[in-house]
Amino acid sequence: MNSEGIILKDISFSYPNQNIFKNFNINIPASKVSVILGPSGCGKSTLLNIIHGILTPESGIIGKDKNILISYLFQEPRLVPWKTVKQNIELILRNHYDYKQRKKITEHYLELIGLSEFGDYYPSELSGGMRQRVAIARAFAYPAEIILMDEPFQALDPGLKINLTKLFSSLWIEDNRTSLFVTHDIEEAIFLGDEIFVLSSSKPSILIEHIINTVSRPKRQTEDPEYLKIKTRLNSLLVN
Amino acid sequence: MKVFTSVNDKRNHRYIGLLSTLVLLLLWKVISININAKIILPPPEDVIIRLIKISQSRIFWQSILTTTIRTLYGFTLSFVLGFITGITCGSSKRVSAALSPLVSVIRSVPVMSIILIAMIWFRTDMVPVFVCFLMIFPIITANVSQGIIEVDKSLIEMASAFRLTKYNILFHITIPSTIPFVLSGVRAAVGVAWKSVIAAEVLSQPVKAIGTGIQFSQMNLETAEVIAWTVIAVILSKISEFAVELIITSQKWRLVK
Repeated sequence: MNSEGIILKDISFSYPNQNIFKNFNINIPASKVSVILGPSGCGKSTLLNIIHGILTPESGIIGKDKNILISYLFQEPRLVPWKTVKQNIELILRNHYDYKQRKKITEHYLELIGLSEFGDYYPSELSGGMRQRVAIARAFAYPAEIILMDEPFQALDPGLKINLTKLFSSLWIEDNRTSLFVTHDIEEAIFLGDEIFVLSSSKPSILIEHIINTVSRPKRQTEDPEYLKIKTRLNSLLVN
Repeated sequence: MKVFTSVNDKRNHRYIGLLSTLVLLLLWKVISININAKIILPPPEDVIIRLIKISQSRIFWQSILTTTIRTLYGFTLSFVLGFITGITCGSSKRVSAALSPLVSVIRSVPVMSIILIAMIWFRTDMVPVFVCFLMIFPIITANVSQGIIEVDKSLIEMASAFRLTKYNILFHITIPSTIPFVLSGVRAAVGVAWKSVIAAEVLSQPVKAIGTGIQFSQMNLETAEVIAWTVIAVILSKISEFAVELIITSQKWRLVK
């Protein structure tokens, strides 16, 4: 897959009574997982929506191809309740592939997330973790060059969270698509992120740190000294 | 454990229902003995005997058939038009505002007025169809438009994020999300459909009709026959309600948050 980066230049955006961004700059690298880390309410989701085009900034330049396809992984699975797991994935492939290809892609991703046998189940017949796995499969199955994720594992219990972050990693390694992940969870940020951008809690938000995660993927989340160093650094940044 | 209690509950409720039916029949019998005038209240067994007797005539079955066809006709017509109107009203507040006076007028016009006016406008056998249509149309329209208004916005947001076309959003998200509303509308409309068709038949007197049968028996002071026809009407209505119920419970999916 041909991946592209995203450049935001001099972006300003405000809600009626709050300045969220003023001349904000960020450079999201291609073919990497970037994480935007920051406390709740720092404007992380707003940033995602600006990149996606749901929100339009008052000024500034968004450096990305207008016709680029973007995949979105929400906090909740947002599966269509009257469609089976398979139909849910096939639905978003409709404009891009013919029936046979859709079927093939759907089966491929269901296999990757280990839910092949659940293809004909309705979302209500699955557990919360399974539903979010389907949502992950859907995000990857979509022929997007960029995947945006808005704290997709936040509502899950710790065990599931680890499982799903691992699942995400294993899917991501397949084609290294440009991904932007928004979270307030430090461990998640270091586990997934190749580059970690830290946003300030003060308004308007600014980038207070840009860390390049040098720990290789298999070593993350172990007692690797470099991993611990980044963790300590991020902890001190978020506390202040 | 909970499953068992609910199954038991259901069974208990069925017994209670059966028992109350028997009590009502008994009450009917007792009162009819006391009155001792078959014209005013014939005993239940008279009704059953009369029912068996009229069921041996050809016109009886033809009446049931034509009344059923009229009900289906009126129902389908208002379902299709009500569905389309409901979608338009649900999607546009302006259309909804423009149509709301009409719908509320239709709702509050007495059924008898509708029937009498329809008798001036239509052939006798089309009067019941038209009346049924007018009675059900507002119910379906209101339910469908409510379903459109209450569509899960987060699903629409998801669909737009994945750039689904407007056509796909309408047919895969918006319209299916009205299904529960449509079904509850249909559930409410089925009984109304039979009642309005038969009421219109009583007045407009098509050649073959349950309503005509009722009216004819009443003129001949055959009270048992009036009740016999009524029993048929109730049975038909119950059968169709049961069919709707089957459709509702056959839905495999449930809403999840």
